[in-house]
Amino acid sequence: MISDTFSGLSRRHEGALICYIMGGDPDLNETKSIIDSLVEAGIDILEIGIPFSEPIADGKTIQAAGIRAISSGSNWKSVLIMISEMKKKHKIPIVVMTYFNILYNPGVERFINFAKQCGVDGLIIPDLPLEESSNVAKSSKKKSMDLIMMAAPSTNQARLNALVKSSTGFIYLVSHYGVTGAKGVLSNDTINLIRRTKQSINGAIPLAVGFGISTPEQVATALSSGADGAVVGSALIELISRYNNRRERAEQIIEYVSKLKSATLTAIRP
Amino acid sequence: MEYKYPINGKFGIYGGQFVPEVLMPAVHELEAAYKKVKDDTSFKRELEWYLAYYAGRPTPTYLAKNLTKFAGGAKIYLKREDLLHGGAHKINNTLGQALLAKYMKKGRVIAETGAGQHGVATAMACAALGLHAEVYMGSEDIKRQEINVYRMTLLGAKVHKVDSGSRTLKDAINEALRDWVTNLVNTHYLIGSVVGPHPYPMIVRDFQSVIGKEIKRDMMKIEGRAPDAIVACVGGGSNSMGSFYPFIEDQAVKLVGVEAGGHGNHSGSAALLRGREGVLHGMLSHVLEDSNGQIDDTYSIAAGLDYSAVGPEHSYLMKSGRVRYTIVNDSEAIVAFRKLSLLEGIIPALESSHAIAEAIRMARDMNEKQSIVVTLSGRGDKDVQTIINRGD
Repeated sequence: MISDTFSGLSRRHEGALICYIMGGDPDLNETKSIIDSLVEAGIDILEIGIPFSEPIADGKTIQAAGIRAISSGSNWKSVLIMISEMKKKHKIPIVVMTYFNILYNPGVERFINFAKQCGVDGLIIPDLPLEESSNVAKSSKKKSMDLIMMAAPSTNQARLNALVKSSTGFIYLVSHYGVTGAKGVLSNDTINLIRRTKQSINGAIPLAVGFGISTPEQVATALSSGADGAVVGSALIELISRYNNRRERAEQIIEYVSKLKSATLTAIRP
Repeated sequence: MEYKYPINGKFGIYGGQFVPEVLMPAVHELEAAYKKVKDDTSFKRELEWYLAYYAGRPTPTYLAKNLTKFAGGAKIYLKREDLLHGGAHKINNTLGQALLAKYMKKGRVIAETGAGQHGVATAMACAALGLHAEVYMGSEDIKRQEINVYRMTLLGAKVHKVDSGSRTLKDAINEALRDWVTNLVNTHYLIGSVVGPHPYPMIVRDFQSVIGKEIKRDMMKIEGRAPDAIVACVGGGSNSMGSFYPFIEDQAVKLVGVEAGGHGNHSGSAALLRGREGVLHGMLSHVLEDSNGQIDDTYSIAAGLDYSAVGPEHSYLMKSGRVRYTIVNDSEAIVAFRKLSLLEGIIPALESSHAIAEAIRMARDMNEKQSIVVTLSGRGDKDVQTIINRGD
């Protein structure tokens, strides 16, 4: 499903806009209405976080969203059930992002089986590096669920090759040394990193870039540097947290996210 | 022996490297650097020099005659880590890792601290070795341990206040990991206990094993044989791991780890006995969590035991049955704290007081020919205010 989305976009010379929100921030009912707005704004892939109390790869914005979600009572099961309702309504691929303890607690196989039942298309687990991923990979393969591996600026060629081999759906490239959170512009280091990684992957799997991307300009730069998709999270979560009124929030989300999506249509792709 | 070097970074199923991809090259680099220096003569000589002349090793293994008489059974010896520079065993590890950082040419060192003991020991080692130290500490802990914050500052370290989560040790570790992810090129993360991703549990254990080695040597000299039991407290588990490790293959020596029970019932921070297997801070180990996998906040009167998880090698030693773990509550620890102060003129850290309470209990069921060594991991000056505030 995820790879179909990327190949469809590629045929139309478009990049993928992937948006990340926290499941249950501010609560699960609101999350549903936020998803409706995101779909209306034209996102290509939806990434939903299941909150974990110790999010070591996340900056302040997503940490705060996780705390709000946990205090609203959101947990792995309730988020997955919410996803199953959304899947009936929207055709969009949905990827779940969470930390490994959230899968380990109920049991990896049980978690993945339930996620599959709920229509989840892929998993991103930031604290599960390649060396620890074999059990999760086995269970997700059995259920033909994508396991999206992350690459980073510190990843060398040999590791990248191994990641490309084991990742399914796409490779998630972390744009810089650091945690999630909106930044001003994409640095030259990031641009070079995207170019280098794209070249090394050599078309074997789509490449999406995340961490620090918040503006249409950054999305366009990421895509014109060779990425097949861009992930926007913290900036969107920040925007969502500013509005309590549902209609106002929907308008704001649609306005912001439509601009991000437009950037994926007009970016000059290499 | 599989105890010695964790296979694929694991002690049985426990341990591992559950960290973001960006850190994988860093933990690999650390492991390679450690393997290189571990048997290197000049590294070992330099570390021994600092341990002897800076930290004050070896520490005595002291026969506590009055405590022994009070308990009325086995002889109770105290391994006096409280006499080390800084007042706790923490310096054994910080000197080792700071020296390792220097060999790795990393000029910046970061650390987490709960009560401030590890932060102070890091600041000391870094000052002595000419490294720049930055310490993450939860804002709740900063409030409770103002003096330690000031000590760190005096020693030249920068203290970062952590306002996320429960604002205690686990949040300080999260924040230190986030710093490491951002600055790993020039930064060594100096973890304070036998926790975190491989190779940390092994490295910290090895640096703390000097405690157990000295116990072994001293007891041979004094008693002509190994002790019948060794008792040490377990938070993250570094002083206990260091005390136990040289005795693991000597099955005749009973090894007892004491976790903190807090107010009793289900408070406390006994991750081994009351937790479940889970993944936190880069390791698969026992953690205290709710039914959905969210990590619990913990409580103990001893700040150094107040942690939601425990070192993975302890999980392994519990499962294999080699070490017996037990729980001592706040109130029992305070009784032991007062007893040792009155009987021996030694004010123990509240952490170590948990181990003393268990040793008194055990000594009563043993005879006077037998001996127990309790690791007195630190001195209790830092806890005097806590005791005054309780008013009991």
